[in-house]
Amino acid sequence: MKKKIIFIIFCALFSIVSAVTSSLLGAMNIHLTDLFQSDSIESRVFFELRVPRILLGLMVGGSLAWSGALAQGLFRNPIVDPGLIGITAGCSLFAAIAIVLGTSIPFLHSIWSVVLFSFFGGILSSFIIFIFSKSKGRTDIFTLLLSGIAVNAICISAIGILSYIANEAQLRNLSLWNMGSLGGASWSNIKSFSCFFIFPILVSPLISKQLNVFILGELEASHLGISTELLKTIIILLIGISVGACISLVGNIGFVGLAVPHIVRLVIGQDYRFLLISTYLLGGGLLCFADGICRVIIAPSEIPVGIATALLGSPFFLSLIRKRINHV
Amino acid sequence: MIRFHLTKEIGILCLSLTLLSSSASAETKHRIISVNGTVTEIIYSLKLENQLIAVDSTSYFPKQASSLPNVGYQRTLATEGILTFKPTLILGLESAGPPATIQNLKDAGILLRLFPEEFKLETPANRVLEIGKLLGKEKQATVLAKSINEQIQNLKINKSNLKVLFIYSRNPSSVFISGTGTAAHAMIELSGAKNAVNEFSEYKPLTSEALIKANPDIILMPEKSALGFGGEKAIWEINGMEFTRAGKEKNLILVDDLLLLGFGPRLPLVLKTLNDQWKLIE
Repeated sequence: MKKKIIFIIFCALFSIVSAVTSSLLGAMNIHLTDLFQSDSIESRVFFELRVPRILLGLMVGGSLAWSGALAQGLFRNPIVDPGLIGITAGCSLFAAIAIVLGTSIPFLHSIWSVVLFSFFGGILSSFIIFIFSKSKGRTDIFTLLLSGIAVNAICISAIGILSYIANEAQLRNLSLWNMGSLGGASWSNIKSFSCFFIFPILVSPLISKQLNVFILGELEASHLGISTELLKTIIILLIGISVGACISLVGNIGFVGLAVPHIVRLVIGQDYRFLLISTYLLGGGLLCFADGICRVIIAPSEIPVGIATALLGSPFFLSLIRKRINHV
Repeated sequence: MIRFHLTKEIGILCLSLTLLSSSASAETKHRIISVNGTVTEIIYSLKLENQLIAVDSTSYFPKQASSLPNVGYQRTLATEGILTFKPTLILGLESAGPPATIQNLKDAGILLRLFPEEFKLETPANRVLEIGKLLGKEKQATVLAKSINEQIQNLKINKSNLKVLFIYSRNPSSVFISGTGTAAHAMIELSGAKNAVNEFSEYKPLTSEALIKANPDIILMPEKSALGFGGEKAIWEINGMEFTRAGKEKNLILVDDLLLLGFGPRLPLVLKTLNDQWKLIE
């Protein structure tokens, strides 16, 4: 118990340190005195670009990792991520439609249309998978997984067709989108989407105990009085909304959803009362820190954050797995 | 393989531009970031480089532009990286991006002027006039635009039946050819030859069968692309190339990327030189 609380504190501190460090990193050198001059470009860059970007990084990273933990709990498998149930592919497909066909479809002209359309795609794909996995009033996890794989394949093929018909500029936008970036962060998209990112934190305490019991097995959980059907529906809904919001806003960011919950599980175990909050904090901190690195590594240009999260997290992830094998 | 250098012609053009440009009458001082090579070239042609504070990676002509701070590729710009230079005006083409960065820059109150991507004979002069007007150098811009238009009018382009295939690639695993509606297509047609592929628009991956079917007489490539591809030897090793006339006779023309696809002030020169090359090969 003590170890788990210490780990949560560590994750919270890591998030804070990441946010502070990230706020100091960027192409522009910003001094503390600049922040008090409201008209200066430095102050505007800090408050209108960097701060929303840091907040978005914390929330998106947190939500992706948190959703990964939920997906792993739902499938009772630690190597599952939300992408496996087709939500990421659904978001990607609809974003690709908006990017490639946006010029010829009147309501898909603005940047916001890509975000909203992609969000709709994520929700739609999770809904389709959910419907497919329903049989005689029950959600079959195995069918859910297979439907997810099928939807993934369909979406990837459709993205392939769109990539083929895309022109050079659209193709580049599409590939950039697929690499993920927090470059589009602004106060307006934080205001519009923050409810989807804060929601996970609020519901975590309500579902963590049920998830702990669900690990034992679906039958065992139902014998212990857990409404497994309701729990599965809530989890799929939460993952759909959360990941849909993340991917639609920042594009594809891999690794966080799979590795962060796994890392946390390796350190503090399976107890979802601690696992969910730790993954949220660690995921947010990791993405925020990775984004800070992305902003300075080839400044004044930037590299997509999806590349950095994998580069930063993978060696650490590998060392943890190695340590675990050695213990066994 | 023919690799042509336009050093002499460029020298003459630069000299004439220098003579043409005189002091500004109502010049507006800006801190300009140019995010396109052709736009940068025009800014230098109008002697406005003193207002240029940073450029993108496609701005490597004239040579002095390369010494300016670089904000990255025109389609992968970063908001903060650009704002670091405190620009008052950003000039480029409509393809500049990503869209989120462009939106953020607009929100930050920076004046952006992104020109449409056009591939017409009048495009260079129109761009010169627009930039000149925007920066208070109307007179100089008019003189330069007139000079470009005169050069275009004086061009003697002989029509040819040669089929030219434009290939663009950075690595052998993804080779693209240009269909209609591209800068490459326009350059081939304007210089008197025929594009070997007209069945599709934009750039599409090259297939061996399509290459054999198109049977181009000449392969046209941007220099940097050819270099990244592995040079001339790698080009002739593309599957199916040996069945084409270009492959059999090793007809390859390499042209500087910006010169070939930029539609800038040097358009008449490159059209003339390409047409001369077509005549030689014919």
